[in-house]
Amino acid sequence: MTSATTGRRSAALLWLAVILALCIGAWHKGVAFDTSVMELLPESEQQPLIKRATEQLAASYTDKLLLVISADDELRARNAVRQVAAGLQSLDSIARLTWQAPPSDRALDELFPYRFTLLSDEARVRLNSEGGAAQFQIALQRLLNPLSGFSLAPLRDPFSLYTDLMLSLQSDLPVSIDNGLLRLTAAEQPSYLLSLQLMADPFSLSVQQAVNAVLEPLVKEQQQRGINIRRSGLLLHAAEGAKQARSEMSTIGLGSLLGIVLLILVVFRSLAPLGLVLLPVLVGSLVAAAVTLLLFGRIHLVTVAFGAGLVGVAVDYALHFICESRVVADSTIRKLFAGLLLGLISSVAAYAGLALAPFPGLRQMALFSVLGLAAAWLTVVLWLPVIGGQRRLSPLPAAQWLDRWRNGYPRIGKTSWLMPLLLVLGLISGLVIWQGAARDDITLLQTSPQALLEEDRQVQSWLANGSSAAFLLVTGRDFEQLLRTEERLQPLLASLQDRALLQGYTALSQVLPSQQRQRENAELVRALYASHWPALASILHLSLQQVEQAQALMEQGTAAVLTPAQWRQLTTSQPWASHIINGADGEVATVIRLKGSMSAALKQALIELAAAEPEVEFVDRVGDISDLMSRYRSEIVDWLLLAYTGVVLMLVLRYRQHFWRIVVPPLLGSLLTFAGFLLLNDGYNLFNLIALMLVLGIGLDMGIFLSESSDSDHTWLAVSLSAVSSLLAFGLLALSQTPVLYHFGIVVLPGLTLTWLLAPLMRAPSTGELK
Amino acid sequence: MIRRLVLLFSLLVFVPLAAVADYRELEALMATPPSLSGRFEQVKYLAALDTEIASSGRFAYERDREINWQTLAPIENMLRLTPERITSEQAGRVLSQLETGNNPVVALFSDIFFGVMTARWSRLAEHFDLQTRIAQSQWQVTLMPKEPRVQQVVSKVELQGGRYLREVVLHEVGGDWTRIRFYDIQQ
Repeated sequence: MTSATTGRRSAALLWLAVILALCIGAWHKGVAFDTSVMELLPESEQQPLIKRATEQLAASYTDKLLLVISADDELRARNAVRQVAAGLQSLDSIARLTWQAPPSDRALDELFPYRFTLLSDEARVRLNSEGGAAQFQIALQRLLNPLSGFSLAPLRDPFSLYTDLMLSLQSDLPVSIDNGLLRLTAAEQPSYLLSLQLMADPFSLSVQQAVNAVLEPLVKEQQQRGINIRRSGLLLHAAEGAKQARSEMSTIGLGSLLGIVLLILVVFRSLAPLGLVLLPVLVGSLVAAAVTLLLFGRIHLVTVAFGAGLVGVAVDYALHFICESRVVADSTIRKLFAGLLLGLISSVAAYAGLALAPFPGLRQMALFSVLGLAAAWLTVVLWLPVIGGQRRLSPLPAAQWLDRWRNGYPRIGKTSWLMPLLLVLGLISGLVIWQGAARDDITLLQTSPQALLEEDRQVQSWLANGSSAAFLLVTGRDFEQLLRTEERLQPLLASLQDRALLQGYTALSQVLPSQQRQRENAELVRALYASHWPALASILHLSLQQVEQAQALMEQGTAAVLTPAQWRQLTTSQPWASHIINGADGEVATVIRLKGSMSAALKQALIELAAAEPEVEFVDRVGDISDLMSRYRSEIVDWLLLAYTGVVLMLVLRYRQHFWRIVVPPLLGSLLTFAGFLLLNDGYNLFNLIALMLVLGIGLDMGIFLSESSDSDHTWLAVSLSAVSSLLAFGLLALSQTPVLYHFGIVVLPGLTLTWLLAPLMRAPSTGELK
Repeated sequence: MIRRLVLLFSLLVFVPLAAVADYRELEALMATPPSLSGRFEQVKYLAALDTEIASSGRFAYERDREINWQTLAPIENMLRLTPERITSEQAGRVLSQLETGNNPVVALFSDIFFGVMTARWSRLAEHFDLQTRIAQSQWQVTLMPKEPRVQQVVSKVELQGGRYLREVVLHEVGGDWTRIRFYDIQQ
């Protein structure tokens, strides 16, 4: 006795030491929360260049916050821009504000030396027919125009090819300059752009709070004056996600905790068991958070929100202990041990299944849950026998009441119609499920409210920004080869534009033609001079010397080929940096960005276009993620079947021919729930299936404990309590605004309820202590 | 001719006395017909060549809707401006077409051209500082760009007229200038 007690004591102390060590370790490392939506997305399984390109394109969205200010009246809109800009000055240390047009682009003149080799598309077309007669006419017309718009250089560029180049470089810009402000040309109402370049991590809670503290009052103030402000930027979504997680933690999490507290008060008519029930939960959550932090460096808020749900299952172990200790005098733990262990193993298996999901966020959840469960279990096994010393051997009224209710229940062995009914229900459900379709929609991963998403989409479409998730990746040995490939694609893309499939595109070769193309251009210019320069010169009354001077300038200019290395030195290359992808081992690639929305027809056309060119790849991350979700969905279906098979084998080993009493409630509950879900919704997804794994895990717990205790009424009470607390913990997720959690909760809620209601049907005649 | 000299003389006399007036006074002085047409004579000075090129032709406009600028000599060419686009035509064939909607430079150019040719002062006041001198029914306006971007298109504009605009001188950054005189103006 004493040696056993000492052993117990030292084990409990050792566990305390482990907990303290982990918590101190995590605290020392620093507590950091993650709220990024991106963290919920799977890591790319694709080749590194594609991954790099995606990251590079996403970065331009990640660290920018855009505001568009619109009003019915230009003047009011401009005033609002000035007020908001003044208000945003206080964010100086976090973000750099741009709201005025930059001083005129004199830097563009750096392209003047290349006026004969970098021809605009339009000029190229004109030079390609009739020896450039049309270009000659345009040059004359520009000479005679009251205003040329660009300064004329009658000797250095008499055919105003540079003007054409400038016009084409500046066309299709979504932003024009109006009174020194940046005005969106595509918006119907007068609308102006303000851009904040974040210098801090948009995922950091403190940055989000600092920005929103300034931004939100400004937006409200302007809205009261009838001015519309639309916003776009990752920070907003991250902040919204964090806000939602926080609010759901405090509503759903708190609600589930309060429900459990109330449940215990009603059943035990005392607050004492509450401490015993909550202690393992508390320790479990603490250890889970500490280890997650130690392993991942930071912990996702969704993980914590989910961890709040962990409460429900961890409560089980303590409940069994307390219920059982009311009727069994000593060594409660020894009696319970087999059931507790089997319960832990089945729940851990169910949770660990989450790690199969391709999303790092879900993996973290899986780790968190498994660790939390294990730690809570250890706490029950090691601490509760030591602390829960004061025993009151008195049966609980709730147990008797529940048992009476259960005895009024039909049993499968005694009621002849029950078996066929359940079989028929199961078969019908099976048929419905067989017919059911999957819906692997990326919007499931969206955590932002619809209004914010629409606001964002509107801003991005005004800016003619296509999705950064769909683009063409062009690879090659060197720049020259890349650019030539791009130039081969250009007419194909132009035809997609003509068919109104593609709104537009930007490609590096539009501003930096291949050297081959530049030499062709030079040839065209020489032909133009040969056929039209004498005529133009005579209209300009040029002297022979001037004619020759212009000719010499042309010879010099056509020899000026712009190399990629020279181009990179020019300021005009800066906005194009995001189009160039540098691989780890010196590879180069370019990105052709697509404007507008991605239709199915366009997608098909781009896939075909890329298939014809070995060096071109069509990257569609949204499609990839949907594909990935569907792949993992089918994998989880396999995993579920495997899990049921494994469980049946395990149960057969221990319970022989009675195994079905344990496995049928979660199986039938799952089938009915899933069929019902499919009838009410237009498709199932990954997260519904993960919920079914949880139903299996908890349902097994239930059956195992009931069997281990030979269906005693106090076990039935404990099982019922844990079912209700799990419902409170997971079922409440059906109220979540986060689609992932909602789709989880909406299956867990009916699934667990049905499992609990089905369990008493399957029981063998009770041989428990209060028979 | 004598009338003109008298006018010029009266201008010289009255200039120092005339206050810098608001453009609203100009609007009161000028006729703003829905459409107008006439002849123009233009001299363009090209600084790079230190030479002047003369041209002439006809113009017609419908207020806020279209300007047709038809050069007849030394070559034939039609420049058609609408708020949406600038089209250059020769013998009915379109040489080039520039959309104001997708090109800020074209939009600015069109804005200035419309503003100057149809004397839309409120429009011009968005881009320029106006210096106005009014003497009796005659007026002189100098426009100085407010922004460097406008400066790139035109560095200074001098306008004068009475009921109608009579003369415009457009100065460009490189030293080029264009002087246009209007004749035979008909509503």
